[in-house]
Amino acid sequence: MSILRISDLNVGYGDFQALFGLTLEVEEAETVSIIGANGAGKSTLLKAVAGLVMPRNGVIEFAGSVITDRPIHKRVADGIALVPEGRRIFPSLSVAENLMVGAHSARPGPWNMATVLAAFPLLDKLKNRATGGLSGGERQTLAIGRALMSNPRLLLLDEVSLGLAPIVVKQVYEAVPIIKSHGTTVLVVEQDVNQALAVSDRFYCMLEGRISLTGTPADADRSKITEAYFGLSTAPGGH
Amino acid sequence: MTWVNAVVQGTLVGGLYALFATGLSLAFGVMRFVNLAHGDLAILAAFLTVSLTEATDLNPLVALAIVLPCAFAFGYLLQRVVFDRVIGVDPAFQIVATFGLGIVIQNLLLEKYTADTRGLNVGKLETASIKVNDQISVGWLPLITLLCAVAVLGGLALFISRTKLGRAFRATSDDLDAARLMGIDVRRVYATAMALAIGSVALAGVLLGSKGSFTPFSGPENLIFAFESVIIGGLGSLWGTLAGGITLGIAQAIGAEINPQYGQLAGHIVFLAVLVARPTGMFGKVEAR
Repeated sequence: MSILRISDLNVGYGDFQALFGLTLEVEEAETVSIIGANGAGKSTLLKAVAGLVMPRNGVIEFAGSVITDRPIHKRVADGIALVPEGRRIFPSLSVAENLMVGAHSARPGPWNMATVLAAFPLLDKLKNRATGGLSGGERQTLAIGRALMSNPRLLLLDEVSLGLAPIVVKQVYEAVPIIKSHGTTVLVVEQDVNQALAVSDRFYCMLEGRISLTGTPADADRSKITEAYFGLSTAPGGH
Repeated sequence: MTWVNAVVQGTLVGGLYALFATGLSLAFGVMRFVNLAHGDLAILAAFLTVSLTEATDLNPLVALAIVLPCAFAFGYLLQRVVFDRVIGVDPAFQIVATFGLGIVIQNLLLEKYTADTRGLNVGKLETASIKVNDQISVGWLPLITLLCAVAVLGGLALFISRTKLGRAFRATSDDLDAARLMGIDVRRVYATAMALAIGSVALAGVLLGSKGSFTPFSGPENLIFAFESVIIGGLGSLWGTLAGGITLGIAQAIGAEINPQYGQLAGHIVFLAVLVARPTGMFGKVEAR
């Protein structure tokens, strides 16, 4: 059964249209990545699923019900959690409080303070700290742990690698298999194509607000991805 | 000794200023909202208490048991029906909406209660005092007011630092969209904050009316003292608001001790001095923005 089904979605900000008739589907327990260049509309897509932006038209279905007009906080209670671009850690809350606030509308499930801290020993060490002095990787791990506290059925990860050193990106992405092991569906938006393909079962490539390519990492043709990513048409015999 | 007395009396008056300022501080801290009708809402509560005590013979402080729940409900609805519409848009709308609400309240009160000066009769409590020595005596009513201010501010500070809803208040204040992504219903947070703000200012209004007199137009003058308390104490800090109210009260009392005409002036001068020397107030968080 598909847990997320998006049909013919149009999203815009003022005169600017970010998504054009976008259609995609994500199966339960699947990890799907969305790759594409800056400004392709990847983050807008996640924001529309989470409810941060309202589409002009089109339909978003989650677990069989239409949620297109549903307010954000109810979507969290339904089981959608977004790890936003830029982490968005609450500065006046401690690390532990940031996690606790993540459980504000929590569904029942495997994740709670104890299991999150056990899964991310880094956070356990930091739990009594203020968030001011945390490194980028620590903030990103906290943002993921905070989102898990709501026990999402669908976790949306937006630009997790942004601004992090490659070694830290690798560490942060180690969370994905842990999350998957609980049957959670993960939708990843990522500019780093290799990282995205490494963690996902399937990918969509976006270009200028439309899906330009879809497939599985195993049978992905690099030149086709490059073409879909940048919108270049490679000459026959080229790379 | 007269100076010591000035400080003591100033501290007691400061309790009332702090109670007036609590709601302003809370509304600004949680939703960056400035309510110019705040003082008028206090006077509205005082007049409703007048009607209630006239109809039932209740002591005004007992009537609070009815007035405060009404004030909470009114604050909740006011946020939902009116203030939500002017949050997150140009701040000019907040000013126009709340300033307009203040004028509406003043004129409705004028229509119903005339421009006569009124007071609330709390019986013997009004003049009862504790004699400390020959020069200093502490009035029971001002003391109760100060204790109310400490209890309300302390209770709110505990609520905000220790409870789930209080955490949601802080998260919403930090980052509105991120708070919504946590599943926080920010409209409910806003309405709850406004309910607490209006509830606390209604309490301040009734205590003001019990201590002195008021007319339908007493709101704005009290609003000024409340604003000064918030700014002196530091925006967004509840304990700072208590310190700010007391600082203002002491400044006024000392000024009045020098010359009876200088009371309010001294308060305003201290306010301006704080604004110049330390714009974030005594306990204000320095805004990174």
